[in-house]
Amino acid sequence: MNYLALPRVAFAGTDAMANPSTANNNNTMNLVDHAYVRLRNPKQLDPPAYRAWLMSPITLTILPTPDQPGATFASLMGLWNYFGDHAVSFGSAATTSITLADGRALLPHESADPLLGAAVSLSARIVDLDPADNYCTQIIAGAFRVFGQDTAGRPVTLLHGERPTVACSRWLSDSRPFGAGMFQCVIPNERLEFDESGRSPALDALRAAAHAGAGIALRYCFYTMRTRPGMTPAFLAEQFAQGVPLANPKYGMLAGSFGPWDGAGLRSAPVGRVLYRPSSPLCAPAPGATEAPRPHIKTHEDLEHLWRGRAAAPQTPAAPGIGPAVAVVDLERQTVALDLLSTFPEAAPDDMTKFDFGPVSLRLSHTAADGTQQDVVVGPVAYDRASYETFGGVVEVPLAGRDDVAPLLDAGRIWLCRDADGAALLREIATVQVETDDRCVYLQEGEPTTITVRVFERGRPSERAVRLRIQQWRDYNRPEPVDETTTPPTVTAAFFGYERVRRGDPDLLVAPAITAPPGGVARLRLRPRRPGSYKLRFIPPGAAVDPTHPDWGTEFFANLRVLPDDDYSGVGDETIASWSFMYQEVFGYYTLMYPMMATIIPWGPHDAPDDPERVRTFAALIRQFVDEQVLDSPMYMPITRELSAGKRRLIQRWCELQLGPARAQEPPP
Amino acid sequence: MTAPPPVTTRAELIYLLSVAAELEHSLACQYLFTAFSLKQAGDPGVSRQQVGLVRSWAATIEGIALQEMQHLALACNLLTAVGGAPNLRRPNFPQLASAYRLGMPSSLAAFGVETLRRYACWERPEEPGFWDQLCAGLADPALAAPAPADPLDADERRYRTIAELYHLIDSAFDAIPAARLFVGPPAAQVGPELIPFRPPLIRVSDAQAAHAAIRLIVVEGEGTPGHTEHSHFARFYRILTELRQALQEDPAFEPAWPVLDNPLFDAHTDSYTPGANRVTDPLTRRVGMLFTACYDLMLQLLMRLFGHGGEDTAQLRTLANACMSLMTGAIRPLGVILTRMPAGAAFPGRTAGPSFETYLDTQPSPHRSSAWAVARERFGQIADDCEVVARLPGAPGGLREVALLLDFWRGALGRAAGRAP
Repeated sequence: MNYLALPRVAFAGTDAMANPSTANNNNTMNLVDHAYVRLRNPKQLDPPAYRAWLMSPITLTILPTPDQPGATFASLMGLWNYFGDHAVSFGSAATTSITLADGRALLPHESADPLLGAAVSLSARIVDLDPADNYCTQIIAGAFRVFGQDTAGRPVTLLHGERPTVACSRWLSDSRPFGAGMFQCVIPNERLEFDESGRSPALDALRAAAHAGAGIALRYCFYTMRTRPGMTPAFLAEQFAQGVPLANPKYGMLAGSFGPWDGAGLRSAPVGRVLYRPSSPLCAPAPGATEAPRPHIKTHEDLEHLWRGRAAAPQTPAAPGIGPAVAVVDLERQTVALDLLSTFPEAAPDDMTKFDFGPVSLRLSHTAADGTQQDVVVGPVAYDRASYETFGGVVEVPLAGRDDVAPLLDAGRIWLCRDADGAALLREIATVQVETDDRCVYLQEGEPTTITVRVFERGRPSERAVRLRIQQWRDYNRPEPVDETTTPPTVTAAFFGYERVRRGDPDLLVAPAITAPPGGVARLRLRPRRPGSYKLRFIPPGAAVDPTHPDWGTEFFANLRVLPDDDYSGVGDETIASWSFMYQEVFGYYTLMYPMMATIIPWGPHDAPDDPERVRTFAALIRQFVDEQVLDSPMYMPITRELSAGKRRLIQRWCELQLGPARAQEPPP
Repeated sequence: MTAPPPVTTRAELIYLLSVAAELEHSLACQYLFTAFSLKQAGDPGVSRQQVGLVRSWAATIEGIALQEMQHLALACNLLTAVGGAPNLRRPNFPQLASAYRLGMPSSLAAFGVETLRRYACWERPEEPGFWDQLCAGLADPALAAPAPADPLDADERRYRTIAELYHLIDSAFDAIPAARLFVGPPAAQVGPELIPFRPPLIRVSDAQAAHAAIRLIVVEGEGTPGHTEHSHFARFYRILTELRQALQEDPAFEPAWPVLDNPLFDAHTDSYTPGANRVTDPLTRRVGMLFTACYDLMLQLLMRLFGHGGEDTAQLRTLANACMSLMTGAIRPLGVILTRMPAGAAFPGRTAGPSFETYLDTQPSPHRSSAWAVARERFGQIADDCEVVARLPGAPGGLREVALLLDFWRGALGRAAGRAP
């Protein structure tokens, strides 16, 4: 089981892009009842007026929390990206190195292999499971591509991967400028096409390795993503007033790698020997390791706000926080592959060099024969920017000739040491690793579902039974009234947080504990009772977690979104065939909150529901795009996936009525 | 003009229906080109107050183009019903004025007074009216050649308007016994369950349905019998009137981009026509070729849809939806992008536009499995190229969104054909 297997191709880019719409990406509680997927429309505005209202300026107030002061700033009712289309791209990212199966690294200036320096692209959409939460982002891709050039300089597709599995954010960091998040997915062999011309020996090797396993694994990290200068609320409002549907995507940095996938492990999460900050409740208690206060980050807007504040008031920082790492020990190759994709922060928002922690080394703590605790240096760790971008955040620490280390690795604990003072930056967790590919799951109210949770111990499936405690947390958000007495109106960001769902609570949908049998595969039965967004927190034995303040940045959890039981079975065909009913129940919501969806399916005319005949023309296409079978496709509609089974059936009935024999026999005029 | 004698042979009917299909197809392309040339909010030369007017014009012209596509679909259904082949080929632009034997020019042109006048006159009612003066001098009678009749028939056919062409076609369905005429398999008809045009697409398997289909085309187009305010003619004339008034009120009003007439991205051995303007800007050419590839692919799929054999219902739905999706998610956005891109150094100050050019190999593949395999492969190739072009310096936005769509249909075709997971 090795998600960092060789040959491994690293890539990096400086202009990655994410263009989520804010209604799916921010705290829009004043506008939307996310649980029941419906508009709040306190002023009972008609569609054109509501749309104009969303584009109008406001003053946004964020209330203070115990950890940080509040703030007031200019914004728009629909926040920073009303016209986002959820597109994600790698921009002009290109491969930066190839680490061959024997461990040799090829760099662009050292080899003419067209896989080096090749363009890497992902055509995908970004969708938050819970719009008002930061820890549940999904990347749903249509294709992963690698382009090289032939000898005549013409572009040639070296690798095409159709429909990578859905990637879900992990290890979101507020320590890196404007945040960072890593994603992982796989592409099974049956969806891969390689260039087989033989022009790239490295690609041939990758193909052979992929075919020997199950496909390829792709991991990447977006960081320092922020909106472009000048895209101020005032500028956006001005453009909107001119009728320009201007999107305001975020751009930033990208690093990652792809390599063969053996089919074991997980598709969406790195599995290995996980290293966390020593203060983590998953690490063995370490003297002096105290957790720094965590800023209150719940939405992307909070993160942006935090870093806007830091950028506006720069001060000599203490050492910033450091993110998790994963070590994969490969005794056959005599190396430790260290995944630092999400680990070391950059120095500043406009300085992508890594914060200087001084020399850092990988060490092993073990119990010697005499019973004493001893440390041994495994090797230095290069965490500088060039290494990070060249090797996709992976550092290979050789074990060759280290007979003093290799035999101890299995029993000892790995840690990352700041050499100057011997301080532990990261320590291997003392608990099992609990992860799931069911990281972001849409459920239907009243429809029991099973998800699978995996338990790993030092990177291998747990060989013993492990009892996990499970806590359910509810994402709660209470909208505040808009103060229309000010100019512009003042909006107070909805009060929000997470609260425990305890025994007796009608929202409780899961048992409080489960035992994963030897082999580490547990199936968890869920009984969703009420709509809403929840997190299942998996607490392994020995984890001294904060009972009141989970650290979603590093803890083990799954996100659930329970969609409401919309029952239209009693509604007659005549009603469903009427445009006003469908607009009121379904189309209007998406048209108003996510106007860019209408560029894919014009199910809501641009300005107002004044052209239902045109929408009807797309009934067959709508039926195909809302089909549950394409849920993992970026073309699924609605893009935001907040379509209950009942509403899907309603849309399908409407489509059938448009396409069915009754209408088909209508005489021409 | 006395009513011409009815069409009495299958061969002549198939010929005239093929002309009709080609004509509807050509008109749809011209109208789309003109609609795409219109500016949008925030573009120079259009005030905030004028944006609504321009948007309504674009919507109206695109709506008419959609109806022309429906007419093309009906013509293909009529062809299939009487034993002909669906006709989705046509000459590239500019077409010879003799192309449809009406003497009228067919060319890709920006939105403007002359273009609107030409469109209104294409769609003119057959009865005498004020449109006679509007259209005076536009058609070249010398080029309004008679259509060849059935080689076994000594008569020549002459029609002056599209409506008259359809009247000729209509006559065949009364003159030729239905039992002998309708030899096409009913299952080959493409119905509203596949393409939900409004009003619904008509399956043709008898004379009554054929008459209904023709009546629908004529009423929507020329508004005859009797001029109606919803006809294409009436709508074009209304836009023409509104444009003249808007220009009178604001001479600086520039509702359209300065697109080239009849842009072309490639030389064609079969149909390169003098008067076409070859775009030279390298990046625009790359985007133009993407457009052409998408358009060509859509035609291939339509040929398969209207000439299907062996496909099941799910596969036919996939074909139809892919065509629809290409139209809205690839052809339209790429067409709009091209009207904003420079045409090249040879055309200072001018922008390009979608050429709607077709190649020799835009032909139906008679074999189901290979047709599906080729189409699937083509979706992937164009998507790849979208990504390549999107990375070029100065590349316009929107290409990756097209790639996303093409990737989806590549997969959908694979799954529908049973080839991909």
